[in-house]
Amino acid sequence: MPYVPHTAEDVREMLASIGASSLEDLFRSVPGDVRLGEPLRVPPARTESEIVAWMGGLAARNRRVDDRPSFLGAGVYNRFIPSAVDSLSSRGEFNTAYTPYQPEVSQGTLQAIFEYQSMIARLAGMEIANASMYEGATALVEAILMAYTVHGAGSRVLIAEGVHPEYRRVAETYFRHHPIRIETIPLGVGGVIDPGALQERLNAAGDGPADVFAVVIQNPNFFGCIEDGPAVEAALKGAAGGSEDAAAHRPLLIAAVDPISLALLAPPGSYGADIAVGDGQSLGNEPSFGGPTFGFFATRMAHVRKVPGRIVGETKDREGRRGYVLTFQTREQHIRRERATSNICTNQGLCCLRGAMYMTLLGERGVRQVAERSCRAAHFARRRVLEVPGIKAAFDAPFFQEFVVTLPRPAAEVYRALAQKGIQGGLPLDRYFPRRTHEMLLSTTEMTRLGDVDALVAALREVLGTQKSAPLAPVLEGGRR
Amino acid sequence: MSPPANAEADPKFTPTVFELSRPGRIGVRPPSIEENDLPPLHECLPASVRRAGPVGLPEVSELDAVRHYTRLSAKNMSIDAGFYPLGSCTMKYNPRINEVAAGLPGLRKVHPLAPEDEVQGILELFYGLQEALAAVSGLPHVTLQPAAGAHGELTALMMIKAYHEEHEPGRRQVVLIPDSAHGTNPASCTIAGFETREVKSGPDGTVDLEDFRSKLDGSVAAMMITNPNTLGIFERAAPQIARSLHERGAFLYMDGANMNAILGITRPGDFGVDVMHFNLHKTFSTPHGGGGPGAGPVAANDRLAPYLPAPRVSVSRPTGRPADGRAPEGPPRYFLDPGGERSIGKVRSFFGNSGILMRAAAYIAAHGPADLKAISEMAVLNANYLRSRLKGEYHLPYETPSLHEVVFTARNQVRASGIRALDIAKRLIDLGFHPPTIYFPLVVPEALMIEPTETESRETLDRFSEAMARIAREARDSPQELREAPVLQSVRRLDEAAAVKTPILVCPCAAGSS
Repeated sequence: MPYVPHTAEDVREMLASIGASSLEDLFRSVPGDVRLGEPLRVPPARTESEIVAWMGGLAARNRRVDDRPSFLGAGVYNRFIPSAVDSLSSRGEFNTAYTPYQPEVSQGTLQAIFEYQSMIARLAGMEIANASMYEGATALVEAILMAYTVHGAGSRVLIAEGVHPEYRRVAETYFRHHPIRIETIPLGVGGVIDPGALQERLNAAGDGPADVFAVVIQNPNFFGCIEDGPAVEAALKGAAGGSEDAAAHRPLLIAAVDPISLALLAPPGSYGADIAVGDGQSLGNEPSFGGPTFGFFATRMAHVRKVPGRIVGETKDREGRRGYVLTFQTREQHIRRERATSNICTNQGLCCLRGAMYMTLLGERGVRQVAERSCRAAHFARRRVLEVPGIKAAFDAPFFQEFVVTLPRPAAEVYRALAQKGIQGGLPLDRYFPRRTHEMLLSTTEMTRLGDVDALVAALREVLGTQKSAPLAPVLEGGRR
Repeated sequence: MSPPANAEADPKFTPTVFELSRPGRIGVRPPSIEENDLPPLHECLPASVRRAGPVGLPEVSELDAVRHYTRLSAKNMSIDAGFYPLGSCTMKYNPRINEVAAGLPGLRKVHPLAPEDEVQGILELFYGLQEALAAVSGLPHVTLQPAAGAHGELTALMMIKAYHEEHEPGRRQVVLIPDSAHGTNPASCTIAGFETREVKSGPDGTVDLEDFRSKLDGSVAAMMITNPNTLGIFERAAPQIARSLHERGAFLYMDGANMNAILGITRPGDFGVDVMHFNLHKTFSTPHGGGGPGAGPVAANDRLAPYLPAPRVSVSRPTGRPADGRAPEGPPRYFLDPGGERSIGKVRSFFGNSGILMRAAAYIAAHGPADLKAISEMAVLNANYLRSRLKGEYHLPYETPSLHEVVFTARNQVRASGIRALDIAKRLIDLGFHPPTIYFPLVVPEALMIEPTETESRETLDRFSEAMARIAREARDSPQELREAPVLQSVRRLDEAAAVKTPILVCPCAAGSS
């Protein structure tokens, strides 16, 4: 049996030392009528080399993002990861340790998380950050829960339609049987929130703005467009009115953000956001079919006792040496149980460690270059793609590294046709928005080559060109959106 | 901020990465692209959306970064470096093959939004994992979506909530939880919108049936048990508890944290559990990563299956007519089943912590039916061996047989010299062992909760027993030294009160001033 060191003699002697007659005897507390009388129905054991062959075979049947031009993003990106991230994060001292309950033998993990918190707070322009959460969507849910507690009066949360559909679905799951009610701020024609419509929503129904405890935006939003943060903040202020009392009951602003974009874009803290969250996949974590990544969570110091999850703080030991501990633990489930701020037990230690390593290795300049190149490549790609006859821009707001185009044929069909030409297209938006049948979200990163864009444009010309000569009525009709 | 005054002289001091930073220094350069052909940045982004100044990220060379993290890593205890008997956490060896398998480019470089026909390999792998977890639990329907154990708990509670709200809206608000439960259990209840009602443990450490019955009424939605429980004791009455709950229209949920004790021995579905979560980072050896990532798949019976989160992996197999004697043609096709109307929806984005699921699949593949059972047999053997070796010196609060872990207390040491579980834990550190879990479960004062796991050799267990015996002697002979422990690590005991009183949660050096 693999990974178990005992010899037959060890087992015999240990049983004798215990005073048990057999291994069976050790399980005498498990009643006979619930004992499993047959072997588990799992496949026979494989040796290590057989596992490599088997999983290698399965791996070969998946299409990768890195061995062909790929324009698929929508929250998960093919990014460059420095070799040192893999080599350092796979050190057993990091990878095979547990939550740092015993700080004297966990200073490595604790200091690394403390530095991670510092980097995230700086990126987001906020005062503090926690030690990370599962991923972006659950980080957003926790932010909404915290805002609900902090605000204390309202029960409505307004979530922009431009927030990632996966995030919105997760929020709907969490709040289905909860006093929190979710309302959607519809996407404006330009691809971002229309501040007037937001103001209207704030004042609509219920008790007006006082009943709204939070407004959630994503920036850049799911469609790639950059929201006007200051305008959203102004709408919140305006809705609350001028009095001091009103300002105290002003809804909290929660911004879900892309960490790479923050090297270039105004951070949530600069436009008055109370909580910034997001997914850390872009910071040194593989696409890996969607996980594991980490969620980051940054806010103001004033809210520290309401923050979910672990927090690391600096302190001193008995001899005055600097050290780090898990702190404000009275918020947490292992102490406060049903009154905890969250049920979360751990953070995504290794993933946020990779995030810290990534930001350290690329540094101030490297992360900014990654952001710049992703952004400039997207603008280059959009210009080129829009030269293809029949393709139109869906939105005109400023964008970062993703953009939506309207195609003359259903986007899912175009995706398949591109796949046959060895190109991974962008996301057909009908995956999330059934009525957006002809729209495709194209994404670029620093890994996108100009040649990839050339190949995409050439393939689109071919795919859409052939379609012209085959007059299929439904397809042409669909192009009118 | 400048480092503490004594820092330079202290070889164990590690400056923060911000203190190492020097403006203009570069680590790794990102890929370059054909700059001149791209539109300039000012044409891409209007000034109004731009960040005003630098972020304040560190600026260090690649070697600085490598040394920094290597030095930090040396300050951690880990399974790779030594025995880590942290009770309830199942700190078993994390096989390297799992890392290699999950690191295959055909697995780690795959996008979660790629269409199903582009990810058949991953879907087949995960379908097999769902099947294996169903086999182990005796509960046939499995979701791999939850990202952690506590997330799995919450998922199961949301399913139970959805079931009751559909059948008896507003009526069932209470979840029964034994006083020995993990803190995540009641915390998950609150998030899922339930109230909790505590059930006492009896003198043998298992659920007090009389107390249980007195608390069971028509408002009860479910009971959460852990089996074996956090004392390492099997809840023999689980089938009766399940029957009573079912008679009153409530469910039995099981926290699967302690599955390492019962693989192939008994299946939760067979002792009346309706829904449970697994901790793949415990039972199925995926590394704990310094606090995550883990994965908390949930298995359910037929009644709760419609409420499972979606998507799950399903398969359609080509069918052939037996009459024509030909085998069906073509490979099976795996797909993401979007679930029905009753599904609670998604509990996280995309599919799940896929990289962790891949590691667990590799681990299960290395074990056949007999080997899976042997995991639990050897884990229970090791725990009982430690129990027999430590029983003389340390107080055992429950004589009931132990399975995969055993809970002792520091009662003898507290009475003799005021030495507490915390002191024992800190002294173990200097003797080269990670301490057991202390002060949990809450029902046992001064608890020392020890879970050796199956991958530790007898020699390691003997060395640990000798260290524990030595500490028991020291508690009698030189208690003051125990109160000073640890003295051999990079820091001594840390002032946790000061960390709250004067919080420093981010590196105080101002952006750009380093």
